[in-house]
Amino acid sequence: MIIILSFVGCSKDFLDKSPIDRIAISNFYKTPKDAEQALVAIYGNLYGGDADFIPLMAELASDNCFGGAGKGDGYGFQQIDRFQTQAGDNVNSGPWSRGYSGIFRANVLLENIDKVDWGNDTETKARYIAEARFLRAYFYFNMTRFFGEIPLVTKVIKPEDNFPKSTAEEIYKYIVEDLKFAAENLKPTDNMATAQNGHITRWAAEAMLGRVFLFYSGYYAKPDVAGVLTLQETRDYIDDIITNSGYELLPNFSSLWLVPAVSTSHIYAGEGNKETLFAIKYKFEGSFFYGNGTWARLIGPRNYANPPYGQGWGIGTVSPKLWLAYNPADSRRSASILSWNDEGQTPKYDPALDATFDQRQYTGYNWKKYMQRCVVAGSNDVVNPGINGVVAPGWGWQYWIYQDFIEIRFADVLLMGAELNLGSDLGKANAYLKRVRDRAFENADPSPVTLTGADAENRAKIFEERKLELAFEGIRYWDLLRQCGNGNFSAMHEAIDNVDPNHSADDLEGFNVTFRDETKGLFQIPNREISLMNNIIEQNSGY
Amino acid sequence: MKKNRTSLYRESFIPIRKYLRIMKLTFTLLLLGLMSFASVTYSQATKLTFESKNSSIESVFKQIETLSEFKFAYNSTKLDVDKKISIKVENQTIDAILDKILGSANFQYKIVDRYIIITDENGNNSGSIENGQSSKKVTGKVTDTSGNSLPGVSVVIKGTTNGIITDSDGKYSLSGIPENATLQFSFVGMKMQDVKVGNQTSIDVTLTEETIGIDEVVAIGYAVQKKKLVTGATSQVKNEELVKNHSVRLESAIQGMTPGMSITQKSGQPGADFNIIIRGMGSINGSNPLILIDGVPGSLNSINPQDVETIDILKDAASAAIYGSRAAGGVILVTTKKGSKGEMQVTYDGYYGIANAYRKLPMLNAKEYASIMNEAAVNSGQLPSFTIGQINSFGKGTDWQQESYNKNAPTTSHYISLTGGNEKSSYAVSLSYRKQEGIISIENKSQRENMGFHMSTQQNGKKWLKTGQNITYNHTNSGSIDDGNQWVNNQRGILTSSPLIPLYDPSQEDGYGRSSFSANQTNPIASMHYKYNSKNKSDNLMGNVFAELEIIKGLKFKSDFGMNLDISTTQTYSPIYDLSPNDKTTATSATQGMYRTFSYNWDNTLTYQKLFNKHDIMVMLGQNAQDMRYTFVQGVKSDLIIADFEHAVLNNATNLTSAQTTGTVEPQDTRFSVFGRLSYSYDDKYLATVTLRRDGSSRFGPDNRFGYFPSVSAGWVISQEKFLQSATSWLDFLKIRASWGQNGREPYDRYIFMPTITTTDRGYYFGPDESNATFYNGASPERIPSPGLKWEAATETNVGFDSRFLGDFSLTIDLYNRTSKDWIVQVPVKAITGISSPMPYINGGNVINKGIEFELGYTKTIQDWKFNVKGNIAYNKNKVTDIPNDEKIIHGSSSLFNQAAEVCRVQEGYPIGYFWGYKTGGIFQTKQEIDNYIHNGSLIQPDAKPGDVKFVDLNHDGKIDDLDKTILGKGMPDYIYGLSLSASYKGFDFSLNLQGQIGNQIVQSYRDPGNWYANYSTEILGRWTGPGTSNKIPRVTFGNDPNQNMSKISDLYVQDADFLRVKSINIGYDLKKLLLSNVPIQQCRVYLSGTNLLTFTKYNGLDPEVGFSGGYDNFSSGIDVGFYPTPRTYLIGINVTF
Repeated sequence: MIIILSFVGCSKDFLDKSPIDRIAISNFYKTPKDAEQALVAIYGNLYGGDADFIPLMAELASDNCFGGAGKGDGYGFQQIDRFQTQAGDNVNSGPWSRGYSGIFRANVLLENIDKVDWGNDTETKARYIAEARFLRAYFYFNMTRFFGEIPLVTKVIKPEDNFPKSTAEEIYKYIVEDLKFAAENLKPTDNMATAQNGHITRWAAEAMLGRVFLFYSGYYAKPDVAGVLTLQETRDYIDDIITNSGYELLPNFSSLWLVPAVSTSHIYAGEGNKETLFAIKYKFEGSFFYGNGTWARLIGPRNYANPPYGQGWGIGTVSPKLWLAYNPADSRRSASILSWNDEGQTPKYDPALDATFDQRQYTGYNWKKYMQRCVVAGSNDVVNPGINGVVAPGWGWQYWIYQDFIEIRFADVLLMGAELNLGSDLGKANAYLKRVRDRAFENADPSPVTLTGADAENRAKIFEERKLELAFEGIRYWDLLRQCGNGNFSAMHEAIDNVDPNHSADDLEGFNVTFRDETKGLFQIPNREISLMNNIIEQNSGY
Repeated sequence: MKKNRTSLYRESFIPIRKYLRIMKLTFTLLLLGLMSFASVTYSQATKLTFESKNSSIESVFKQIETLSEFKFAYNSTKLDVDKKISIKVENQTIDAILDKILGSANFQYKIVDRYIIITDENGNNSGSIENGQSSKKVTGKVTDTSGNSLPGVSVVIKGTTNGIITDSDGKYSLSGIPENATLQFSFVGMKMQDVKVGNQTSIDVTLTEETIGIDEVVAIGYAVQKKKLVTGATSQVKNEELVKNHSVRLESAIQGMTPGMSITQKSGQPGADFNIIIRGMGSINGSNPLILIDGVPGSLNSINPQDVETIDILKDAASAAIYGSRAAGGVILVTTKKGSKGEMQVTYDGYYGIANAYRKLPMLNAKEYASIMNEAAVNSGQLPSFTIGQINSFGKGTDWQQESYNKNAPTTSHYISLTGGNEKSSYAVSLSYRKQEGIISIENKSQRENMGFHMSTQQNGKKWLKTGQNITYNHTNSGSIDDGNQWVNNQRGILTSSPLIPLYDPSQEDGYGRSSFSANQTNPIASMHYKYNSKNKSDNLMGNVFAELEIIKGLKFKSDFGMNLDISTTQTYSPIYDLSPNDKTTATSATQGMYRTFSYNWDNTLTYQKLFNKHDIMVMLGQNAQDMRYTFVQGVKSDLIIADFEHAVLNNATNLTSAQTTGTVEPQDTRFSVFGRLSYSYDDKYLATVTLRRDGSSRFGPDNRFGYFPSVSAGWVISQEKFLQSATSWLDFLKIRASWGQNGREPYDRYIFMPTITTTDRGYYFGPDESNATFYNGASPERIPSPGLKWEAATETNVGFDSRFLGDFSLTIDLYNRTSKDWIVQVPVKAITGISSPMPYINGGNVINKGIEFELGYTKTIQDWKFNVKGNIAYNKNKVTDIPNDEKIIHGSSSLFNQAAEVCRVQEGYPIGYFWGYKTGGIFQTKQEIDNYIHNGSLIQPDAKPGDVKFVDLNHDGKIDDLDKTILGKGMPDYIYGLSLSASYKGFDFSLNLQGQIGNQIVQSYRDPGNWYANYSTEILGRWTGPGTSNKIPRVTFGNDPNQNMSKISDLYVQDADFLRVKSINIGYDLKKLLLSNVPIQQCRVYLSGTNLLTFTKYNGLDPEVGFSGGYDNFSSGIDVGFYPTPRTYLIGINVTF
């Protein structure tokens, strides 16, 4: 009995157990190592996204692509292409929740960073803060471009806390302050060491400020960003990159991506090259859907694998208009687009010749940047040339996608520089543009473009160049949208609207696309999120 | 005075059963054999000290009765109980005392249990009643059904207290019997029998055992109780019923035997699991009952049915409440076989059988398949794939089902047991071996082999101490093919593979045929050959040790410590194969895994029982502690040096970069509980029980760590009442019961109450290039914690009655209403919190299960014939009344086919896990019909073409969308029923067991509509091909028809799944009766048995008993995505006892 009574006495200890494979929060955020892991977790949030990877959705919505997919698939991709309301309650929950998850992780680190025992190492602490704030701004920027006005969550909140939408001005002010902090607190050499590749640099922050300024000033038709970022400041940031960063253009355009390089007989420059300022770093290993660019499995040709073109799900068939927009002498054409007829791949691929070919909205063109590489005809096997030729067999092509997704590259910076300098320094603007075109035409530009002022006509030249240079990099759609200030969406209609004489307007098998002004180019907020927030935020118009 | 005394007992005649009632429940052993064992034990163990001077023998007997549990029976006309004696005994056994008392007289005594029968020197206690004018004398002998004489049987002249008891040879002699008298023969554990005397002077009587025994003892949790005194709803299944089905798994053995307990198989593969649901689904987290084997929490899988003595099922909340927080799904108490006193009894049971699939689906042959594919292509706007010439040349093609059958799959069982014991100890030991091959597999990949032993021993070394041990060890060796969800399901491949793929193709290196048609087609037999190279071995060692101390008379302390160790290992070999461009490997690899679960369980109970006059009180206080730990490690590595299954171990694999390891240890998962029970009964007439349990669990936060689970129940044995005495001619027993109780269910996940940091999916690759990128660990908060989470709670009210009437019938009816609320559910939280996944847990939801259960039994013995019929049927209605979210829906998974919508969900107002989809209104026969299907002037199905499905626009909004979806059925039945019949005549025996259910549906999808080239069943031949051809099956397409005929989930996928199954038929004959009468063998029974012989159902799939949920949701069942059917087995066996 005594034993039992003593047992009863210690029942509290008996029941008080702690997990072994996890850490209780009360024991964390104490050492610099903890802080590093908290920072890494924010980067970890860059992973994820499949059919709802924002750059992919933006390409589908732009004039570059159609929905594609298989004949038996649902029409979700067509609906994105057409700005239509998609079926289901939780459409776009991925972009929404991934964005806020990244913001949360940044807020967690920023709120706990003072609890860490840093000793004398204030530099590392400052760098972590700068990186965390950059990433928070990056997530906000991606979300606000996609959804428009959204709740601005600036700290760790409780489940019951609720936030209405903030104005665009508030959100962008916050973004700019974070980015400026990063640009000003990261030293020019911070994270430039190769081992640190992937971490944010001052240069990435400056480039992002350029992107933010151009989008905000365009779409919201404002001369500056909420009084915290002027045109001149932006121009200086971009010029600073071009002059001081050490980043440069690679000699061959196609060497930036694996399949484009191989298919045009160039050597793939690999990741972390001199042109890449910021990329999502994938690796040929890891677990299902984590650390891999799984979204890229969607874009390859459906049920077809012929080296170097690896199989995909046939999403985002490319508009022939884009192919035709390139000068045939432009090296970017064959680096960006796979034209089946031009490359003589196989006539069997044409659904008119092969009834079993399961590709919807076949155009004869597929996007080549980020396509999975195949090594043996008819085989899905993908090989990583980097690590002893390790093969991902069978269905490995679905998730062992290691090619980094380049968020910002130097050519984009040059073109931003050209655009920002249009009204101030045409010489600089022309020089920047020329560097991009010379690389594209291998220094034999048959029809050089000259910028002559800051008017719409000259800006259009830059937009055209950006379209050709940055196709399939998740940029085109926002470039179109930022031409639509003051609610005038003529640029969208001009670029995106498409008439297919062979199908009725509402037949999702056809190629008809009409931009819907009422959406303002924004995407649907997940209905479930609206209801979870007790409807204090409104659905975007048009949905 | 002496002359006037006509009764046998001091004062008046009291039936023996009344004496027995007041004995300790735990010592009430019913079978005669057991009784003698117990009596010797008691009489040996009981030592008395007293002194009596110059007292009558009667008063000495009285004194002994007071000091002990002994009762005396004697014929006072023979024994002079008024004789005065002086006696002094010190610490002596009853034998010695009786020798002293009776020593001088010519009397013998016999002890039956605690009952002492005193007879004259001839073993005769015959008496006469000399009060009648025209009285007569009757003599006779009373025996049991085996022909053994029964001493101590009371023989009474009905309506009087006059009677006698049988002597040690079962003989009696009674005189002074009036005309038209009726003799009533009664004995504990036997059915009372009335015999009219008439002209007879010699009446021999055979008493039969009380098979529908109200005097049976049942387990009630930490104690046993007489069934007739039980106030909750419980059921018991005994060993002899369990072994009839010759099941390897206990779940299968008890199917159909308990009203309200639904047991359905998740697969027919050897060793596959079962779904057990008692009285309807009470939670979205599943409704599994708590299973205790000799008090140790475990799995029914770890015990051989032959080793089980009884299974008690505590169904209502009041019965289960003593197990508190884990009893919301009911409790199953398994009691293993125990030894008994007597000579060693050896039993061997062995059988051999063959199993086959009892059904085959009619799939299209090659020629039919090619025509349908052509038609689908044309209907999908594509060119036909085959020419007429090709089609004509195809013939039957490959019949994959036929090729995948393991014909006459053998099943073998050997079981040997030894039982025996003496006054001091007893034992039961058994050894078993069972091997079963699956009916679907090649190369014996689906099989299970099991060997184990069970030991149970008990010691009664001291009067105040009783100890016992049970130990069960099981080793299982098995292999299986995938029979899970739509993705990992070999059976699905077999059913849908194209008949055009040749099974063998000599031109292929490995000889297996390949598809020349599509990269997505795989030869399913080749796939089975290459993919299912997996050895699973598991070892389960389970046991407990207990000691019971009697501190003072009636006060007992029992401590019971149990352990359960489960270790299983897997070893898998993946060879290099190339079955199709989309299905191949380029390296060999080996996987090894090990799981270990260890738990201990310590129960301490203090029980006091006392009878004050007619007030019987039992108090029990107890405490329980449990601790469970789980370890798991697994590794995978490629490139084997010796590339075969035998050598598929990690050390034999060379590719270091391919190595993947994972491992975890779950910390101690602990529970601490205290509980108590107070039982009261008055005169076996008014019964009441109150229990309370307080549970603490490490799975909850400090604020909500403890929960209280109370219950009250009461019973009234009306048949004991005077006002029902007039009904005794037909009503033997009637008890009405009512109970109310609460119990709980705990969360599956640990540490969800605590804010934790995780590194899972938080890291990132930094580094200059692909080769040099390094993974850095990241860490951030894992989830929104739920510190306030508490137990799911079930509250149940039960009313019912137990009855026996007309001597041979028994009927039990129960009505219940259970409300299960506060489910532990994950609810979406707004994503702006930053941790929307995993979703946090809250308590919420509510489901009501109401039902009624009937159990009717009939037993009759007519000379050598014995009949026994037992039937049960239960109705349950399940309705969700609350869901803790705005939508009032908990969504199920897409489990039916690739990209299918959810097929089952939980929603307010509907049964849990109901099937959700579109209603169809036939097939559009003509364009006109499509044009006529309009709402406000516009077409409801503008994309439809003739031959397409007409979906019902339920909400009349002019379009077909999710809002038109409705309930199409449910996986849980309305009625479950079972029936068992048995009969025996001399050495022959026969039994039949039936099982069935009514009112449930199955969603069937073997074929993914997006998988163009998947084969169809021949049903498709009745498809729509033109107006008037079919109003049910739409035209064939490649699944890309804009109308989405088959890619929308509709009632076309749903079928009624009522079935009645002949679960087993057994015919046996005891050779002993005929041939072996001289051999010292007690029984030598040979038997033939068939299981799953007939199934009556309208369901057209392979098997209507589908307990599978589709592989995702705990709240669903009845999803058939390619089911491994239950085999039909014929077996022959022998059972020898000597």
